Amino acid sequence: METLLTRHLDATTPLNLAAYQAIGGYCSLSAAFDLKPEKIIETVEAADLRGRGGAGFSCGLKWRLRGADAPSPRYLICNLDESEPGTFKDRYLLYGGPHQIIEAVIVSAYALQAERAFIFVRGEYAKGGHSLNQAIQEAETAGLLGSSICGSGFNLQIEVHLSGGRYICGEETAQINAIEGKRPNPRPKIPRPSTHGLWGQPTTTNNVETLVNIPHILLNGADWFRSLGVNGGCGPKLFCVSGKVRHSGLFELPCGTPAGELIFEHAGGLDEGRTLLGFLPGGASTAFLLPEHLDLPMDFDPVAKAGSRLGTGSLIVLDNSTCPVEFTLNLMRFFARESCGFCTPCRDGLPYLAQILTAIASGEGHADDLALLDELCATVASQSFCAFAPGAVMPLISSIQCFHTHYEQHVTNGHCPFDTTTQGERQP
Amino acid sequence: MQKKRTNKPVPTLILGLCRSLWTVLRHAFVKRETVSYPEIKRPLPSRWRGRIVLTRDPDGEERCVACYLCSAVCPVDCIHLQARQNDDGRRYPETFSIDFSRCIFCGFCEEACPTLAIQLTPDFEMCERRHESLIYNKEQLLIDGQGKYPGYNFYRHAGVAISGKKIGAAETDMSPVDRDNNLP
Amino acid sequence: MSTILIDGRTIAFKPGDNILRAALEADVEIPHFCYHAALDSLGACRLCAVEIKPKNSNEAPRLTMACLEPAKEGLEVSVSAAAAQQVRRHVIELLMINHPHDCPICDEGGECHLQEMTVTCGPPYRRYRGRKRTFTNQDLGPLIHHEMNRCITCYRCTRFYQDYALGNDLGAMRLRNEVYFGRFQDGPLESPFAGNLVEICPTGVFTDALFRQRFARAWDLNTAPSICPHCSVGCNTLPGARDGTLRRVRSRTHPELNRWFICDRGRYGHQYSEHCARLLSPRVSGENTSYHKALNAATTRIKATQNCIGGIGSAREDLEGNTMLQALLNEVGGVFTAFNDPALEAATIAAVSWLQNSAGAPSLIEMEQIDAALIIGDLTAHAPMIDLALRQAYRKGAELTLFHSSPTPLAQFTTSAITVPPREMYAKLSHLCTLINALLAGRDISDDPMAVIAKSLIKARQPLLIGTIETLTATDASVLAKLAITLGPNARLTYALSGPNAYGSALLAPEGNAMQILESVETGKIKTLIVAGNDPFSDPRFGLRWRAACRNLNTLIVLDCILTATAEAADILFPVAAWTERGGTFVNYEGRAQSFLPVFHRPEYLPSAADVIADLAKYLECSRQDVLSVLQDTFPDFQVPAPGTLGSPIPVSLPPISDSPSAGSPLLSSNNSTWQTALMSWYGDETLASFAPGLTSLAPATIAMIEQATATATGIVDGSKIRLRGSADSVVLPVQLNQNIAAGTVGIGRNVLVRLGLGHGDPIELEKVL
Repeated sequence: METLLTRHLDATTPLNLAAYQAIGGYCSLSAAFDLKPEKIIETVEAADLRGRGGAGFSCGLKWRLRGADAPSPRYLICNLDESEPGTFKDRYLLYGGPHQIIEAVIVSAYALQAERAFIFVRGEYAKGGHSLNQAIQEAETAGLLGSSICGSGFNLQIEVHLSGGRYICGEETAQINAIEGKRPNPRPKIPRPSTHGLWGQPTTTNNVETLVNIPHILLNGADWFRSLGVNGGCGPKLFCVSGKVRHSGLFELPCGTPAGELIFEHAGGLDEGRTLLGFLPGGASTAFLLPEHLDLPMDFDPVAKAGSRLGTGSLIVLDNSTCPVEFTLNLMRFFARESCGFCTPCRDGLPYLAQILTAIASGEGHADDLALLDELCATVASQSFCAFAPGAVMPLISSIQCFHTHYEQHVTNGHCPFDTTTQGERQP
Repeated sequence: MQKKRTNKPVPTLILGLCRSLWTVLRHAFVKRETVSYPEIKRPLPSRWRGRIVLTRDPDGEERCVACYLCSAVCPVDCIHLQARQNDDGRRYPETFSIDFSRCIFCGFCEEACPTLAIQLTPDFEMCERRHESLIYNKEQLLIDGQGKYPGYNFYRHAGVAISGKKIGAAETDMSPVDRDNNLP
Repeated sequence: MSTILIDGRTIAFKPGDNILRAALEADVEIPHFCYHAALDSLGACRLCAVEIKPKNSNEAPRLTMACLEPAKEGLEVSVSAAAAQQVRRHVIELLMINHPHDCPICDEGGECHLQEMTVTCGPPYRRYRGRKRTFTNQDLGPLIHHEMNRCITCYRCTRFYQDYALGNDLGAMRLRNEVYFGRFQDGPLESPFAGNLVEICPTGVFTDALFRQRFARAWDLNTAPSICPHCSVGCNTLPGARDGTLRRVRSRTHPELNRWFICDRGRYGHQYSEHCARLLSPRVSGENTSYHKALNAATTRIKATQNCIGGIGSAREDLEGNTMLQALLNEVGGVFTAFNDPALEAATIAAVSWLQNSAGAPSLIEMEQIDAALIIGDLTAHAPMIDLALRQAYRKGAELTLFHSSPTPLAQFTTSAITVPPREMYAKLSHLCTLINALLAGRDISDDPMAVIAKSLIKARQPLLIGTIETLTATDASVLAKLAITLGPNARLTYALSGPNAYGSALLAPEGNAMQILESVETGKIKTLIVAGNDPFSDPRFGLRWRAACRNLNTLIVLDCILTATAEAADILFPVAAWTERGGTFVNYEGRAQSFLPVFHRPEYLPSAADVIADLAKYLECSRQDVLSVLQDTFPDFQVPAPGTLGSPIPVSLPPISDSPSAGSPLLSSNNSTWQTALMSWYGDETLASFAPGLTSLAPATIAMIEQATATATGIVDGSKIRLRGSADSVVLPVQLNQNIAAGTVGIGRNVLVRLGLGHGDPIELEKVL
């Protein structure tokens, strides 16, 4: 398909303002300013644009639920804190074309009537953040930001906030705390950020990939946008494929493309002689899908029905040479490390799970360890303060279910069935 | 009228008497159960609840960390101590006294002690002429050995630092976290 | 009344309560860690899991955290449900993963919330096979011991320290299971309320470092309800003693006063009780003697000098002691005062009179609700817990205005903070009064620099006016009171007085007695002086005069618990019990009388001051010898409150102040070009607390503080040395420049003032030392 979001991306020399405008950039501004903000929200909702940051919540619905009468000042946060393992789509967008992001933020802020927008950039993407700042300055000089943009009467200031680091800053309320200068602990679910967010004001957070679709929806309409997807999906989707494939990378494809097509056609398939063991459809905090799910459309609802989540649309592929126990351990150690430390089940539960998994992976597991894992996962998943821990244990619960025999072999044999050499000492 | 016989015939009596005398004489040569204490002392099992001692750990330091659990559990309140900490960071009892005139040798203190310091030994030879001498102070209670439970040193398991053992050096501990660095 | 059901028990709740708060108020225990009544809910520990029975019987019951779930009418909650118990068991198991094997050597054992929760809800055995994460500890100063391994990351310490007490040097660092609570830089904690960390931490991370020096388990301590003797707030405390020595002081809840906290002066100032300067044996002419012989000696000398006797009580002696001394002096033709500084006497009596003839001082809990305040002086040093109450008002948005002569920590929380030289305080306050009158009359005052302050006080719903009496004159205190009257019936007036019983002592004798006694001693009219719990020789302004005057005396009789300068010079010395060794009554700044019980008795049994004076009365064959009846006679409508209760008000007995300013303005000087002194105090600065080595080690350096502009004008450089000359002595001190000291003023500490024989606001000579 002809790519929409990635066609002009160039990480080495991203398009400057003039070049971007030459290929049609910033056209959506005039289209937006001609419409009422409510109309834009209606169109976005009709386009069925689902959030691409992991939750998959309808963007238009989120905007509509905030309410047009939200007291000002109102804020928009563009979430570019991409820390999910296996996900690198936002990095492409940032390094490859900062102006696309700015255009998206302007029209979205107009729809929400927000006068200040923040782009929260992952700390490790400092160079991208720097180029984003330069792009913002270019835009300000050209009158595309600041007071009364293009004579519309709409004022907008965009600030780039470079994160201090760590995964939890991607959580909506933790991100708000981080922007306020506090420790990035999540906040209670009530009151919602849409009513009491940044500094107590109505705040809307959207993933950057979600937002860059908005200008195109405005220019071409909701129906057109929906038609870009397949198998019931709407719009284009940036799929990251990594793991045991021949050509890992970023692929812009219709939302709803079947997993098999992604893995075997676009990503070049598996190595010689290997068979598919399973794959994670949406980054690390999703459940495993098995070879029987290859026909599953990579869209939010079908994947949810199959028991997993599309999340960020980042496939991580395992073949029959990967030990799923080792793989899950790698993920659990990552999550244990990234806990913010606020609530007990996540802070102390995830390292405990990682420790048991380490014992199993190195052949020192006990017979009742799997039951222990299930017991602890139940509490960690259901009694934590925010959605981080439930997401963290999802791959663990799912891998125990899907690869139960592998786990049992580790325990019974006393070593990893994939490893023919002696296992070394492992730290918890 | 026939006289009722109330007494046994004399021969029967003498026979009974001789039998008794023989039984008594026989017992003069039977092996004695009685142990002629104090020349011969009966061996007692090590769990026999006698005199209380305070033991030392394998490194020669006193085990008692003055946690007050023994004095709390003692049913007759015969233990009195005062905790103190020395410059090494070890807690120890500045004073420790047991009033043996009150002690009922129940062994609760030994059960309560978390460091295996206080132990009851199979020694009961504690007679004193004066009542006050039955109040043993720490010098009289502390012994040089490890008592009945060799090999346990509480500080090897506790989290605190003492001289010769830094934080993180306990048997179940990892090295301490670097608090000045946020990196994983 | 709205109610919920907890395990079948009906519990009432107030609107806005969550389930946990409602339960704890009704004494129903739901296991919890991170919730605290002062800090409200957080939702971090996840221990307070309860099961809610759904309204619809088809739905499954849901688990929720009691601290985050609002109480609704008719809600059915189960704490004992199996699912909730399972969650708690897991939470405890997870918290204990890294907990060190420290209980036997941990100070918290026996009163440790973690121990209780583990025994209540946790698994009895450990199945975690990994290693424990550890932390190194910080040296947080002499008062608090830090042992971070024991932390369960409940965040209570940082929420108290930063959010409640508004400190900023302690907080959370790092993340995940390595969150570290400590100072951002090594060093002693700066907050005057840091000691509360000891009680608020549910494990043994923060423990009382002074208690550690002579440690005893909580179950072995003798305790009794007591009242803090270190300032006029009258916080409720629970001292703990063992084996005839005082070991520690903890806070005790009073719902209207200090609630859950006390300041560090109250917590750690108790070390005077076991100080080597503690007086334990009566002395006559320098020789130890028996109590009976000392009483005899005193009786003889008092009888010989009938009608030529004076007595000085104290603001830190209890009501019984002061009253007995006054009664005794009445019988032997003597004069009584409770103060050794006539200016302080005048100011205190004026303050108490204004308080008794107004709506009365607000309690601490009422002070947290005010929306504007005018604060005069260094409140943090004179009544630390009032400072903490005003910080709560500040958190709720109150506008605080401060007039001060020397630095005070409260300045950072004020909307306007103005440095005022002591001699100009009266003029400043009078001018503010004029402004407010003008504003109320509708005139425009926006030109005036104090216009903002006047407006803030007028528009406030409930403005508070508070002055620290030790650094105010009687006239200043009266102007403040008039300001309150001008602001209308919503304004509340109060003063931070100079001692735990200053209010009560001020009711016992008229103003002017202190000067009368001093002059009588100087002229020889008074030949015998009885001093109970006071130290006239160490008074800043009048100490040297007292010292000189007392050389004329026949007999100086001193009753005190600690070896003060006056006690050293006593002819007859009676050691008395410290406040934890006797019962008594203190009347706090509100006029609230609170009783305290003896916590323990020393092996060398010591009587209270009231007992000694009663015995003296017996030996002198006075008509009134019984403490209780004397108290009853002096305060006829007064009922001594039972210890451990909220206290009872002392009856009104002082007449209102007449309008004419009294002669008590020794600070007014026409010569404005000379320097004047300002007392620089700190939260540990108090007579008894000055014998607590743990506290005094944190005392600020002995320096002279001068304001920048004044220094530039007089050519004084930061760090240089200056010689300060007082009435009797001179002292060389290094200079520190600071914007928080008033212009034309030298800020100096109490010890230096005593040495120079100067009081707050007195003229002083200053010269540079080359």
